[in-house]
Amino acid sequence: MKFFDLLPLQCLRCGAPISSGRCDMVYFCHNCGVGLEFNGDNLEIIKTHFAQPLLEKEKEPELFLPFWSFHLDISIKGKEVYLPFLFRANYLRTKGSFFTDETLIEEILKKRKQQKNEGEKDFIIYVPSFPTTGSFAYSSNIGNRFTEAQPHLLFYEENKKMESCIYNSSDALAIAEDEYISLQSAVIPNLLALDLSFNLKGKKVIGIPYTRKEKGIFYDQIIGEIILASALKKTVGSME
Amino acid sequence: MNIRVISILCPKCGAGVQFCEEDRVIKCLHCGMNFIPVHSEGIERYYLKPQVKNPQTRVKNYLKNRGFKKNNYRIVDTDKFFIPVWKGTGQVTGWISGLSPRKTVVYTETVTAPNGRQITVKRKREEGGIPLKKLMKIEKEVLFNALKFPDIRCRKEEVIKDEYAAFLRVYDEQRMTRWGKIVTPDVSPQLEKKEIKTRFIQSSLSSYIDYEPLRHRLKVMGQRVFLYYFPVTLIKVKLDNQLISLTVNGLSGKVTSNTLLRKESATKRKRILFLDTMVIFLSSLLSASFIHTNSSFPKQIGIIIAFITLLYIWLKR
Repeated sequence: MKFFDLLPLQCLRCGAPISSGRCDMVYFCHNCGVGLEFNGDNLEIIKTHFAQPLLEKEKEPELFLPFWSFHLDISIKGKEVYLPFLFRANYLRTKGSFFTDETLIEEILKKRKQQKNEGEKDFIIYVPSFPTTGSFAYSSNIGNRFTEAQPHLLFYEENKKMESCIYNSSDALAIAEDEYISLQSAVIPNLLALDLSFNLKGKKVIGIPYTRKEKGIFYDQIIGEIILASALKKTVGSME
Repeated sequence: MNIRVISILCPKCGAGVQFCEEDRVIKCLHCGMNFIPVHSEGIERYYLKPQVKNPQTRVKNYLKNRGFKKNNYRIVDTDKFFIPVWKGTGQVTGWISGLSPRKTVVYTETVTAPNGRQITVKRKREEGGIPLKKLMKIEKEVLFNALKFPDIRCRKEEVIKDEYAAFLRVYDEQRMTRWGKIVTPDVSPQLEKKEIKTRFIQSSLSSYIDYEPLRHRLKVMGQRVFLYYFPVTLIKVKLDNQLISLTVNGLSGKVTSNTLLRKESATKRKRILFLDTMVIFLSSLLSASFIHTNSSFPKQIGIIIAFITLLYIWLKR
């Protein structure tokens, strides 16, 4: 029985060899721009898009940093309730109090009935996946900002060069769950008491455009969050 | 810990390729091709190439240094094994919440009485119940033996020693079986993978076990599971009618015994035997002489001494 094998890193779409960093988890083809993820046995194609700047549209992006974008259906197991609306509308202002599980669910269901007309809109959670120095909390905060903003993105038609992506989809999904709970915990204090289920409806990698603000500082051209060049790990190319 | 480099051959051009244990992508510097290492069942299997040529000589030297002569012992069996050791790494992440444990604390306080005197009084105070809500991110690593084999004395930490980095190889059943037997782990890899995940989460929660109600949503990210095979030679020696197992480390050649063997043990044993014989002989003589007297009191003493002697012999046995 063979326990070890080497899988050639070649693009599944165009067949071009892919060069990648040693710790990368998603591999981007520089020829056709497709993203590939290793699922334990084989490579699979991941939808990849490069976002167009919303801020300073005329300024050409200097680099594209990868963000996982998850379209999630978040609900309480066994209950007909769609949870992202709570986050959007900040309905339950119960800071500091600890409900019992049942009263909390009743409260959510009651509020939900009042909002029947709202309907379920797309709810996207963004998870930054580029390597940063120090803990990933730094980049996780940027993910929170993007998730809060829920920007309406437009994408380039042609391919761009994506920087290193260090999380695979399952790890990024774990971070997405934490991110959702972080954002919701301001609204519901004991969210962990609920048996939450995160059903993945869609996933893709989005290259967020970044440009230089001044020496040593980059900012994204979507919501304008800055990031220090020194916080980005050396694996990211075109850094000073 | 240094980076341990492993050598393989490029499947495309046949050139030698080196990669580090933690690499997710391997690059052949000769043909420029990149590869993803695919490990069966997601378990990264490696072995350490044995270096010790004559384990029996090592055992003989070991016994000689402990004062045993060649005619004192006999090597009855020699077996070569690759012993498996698990290593798991990952990052536990997620939210936990709960209330810190409540307890009553008694403390003393000095108060002024109506008559103006200072007196100390005991008071009670409720502590705890502080809400905890935290996003946890902890790096975890665990190393444990993959099987129970009491005869073999091998420390699990040896598999990750930097000094053995040069001998680290990708698991190769053919090459390994040419040297010795490959011992299978007690638990299946898939089960062990789950078990490592559970261990990581439980150890992350261990500091909050008293919190009530403790809620969590912890997951393990970037989990990697390694199975290292370490070479050892198990040599069974018959020493003074006793069967002793000696383990020879396949890399350092260090010999470890499953029983305590000391240099002076042979001569010490002789001295103890002589002293015991003398004690038994004298006490038997004493008790016999007491028993054969006419008065009843020395007879009783004699019987007691005889009993104590028998008890001593039984205990020594």
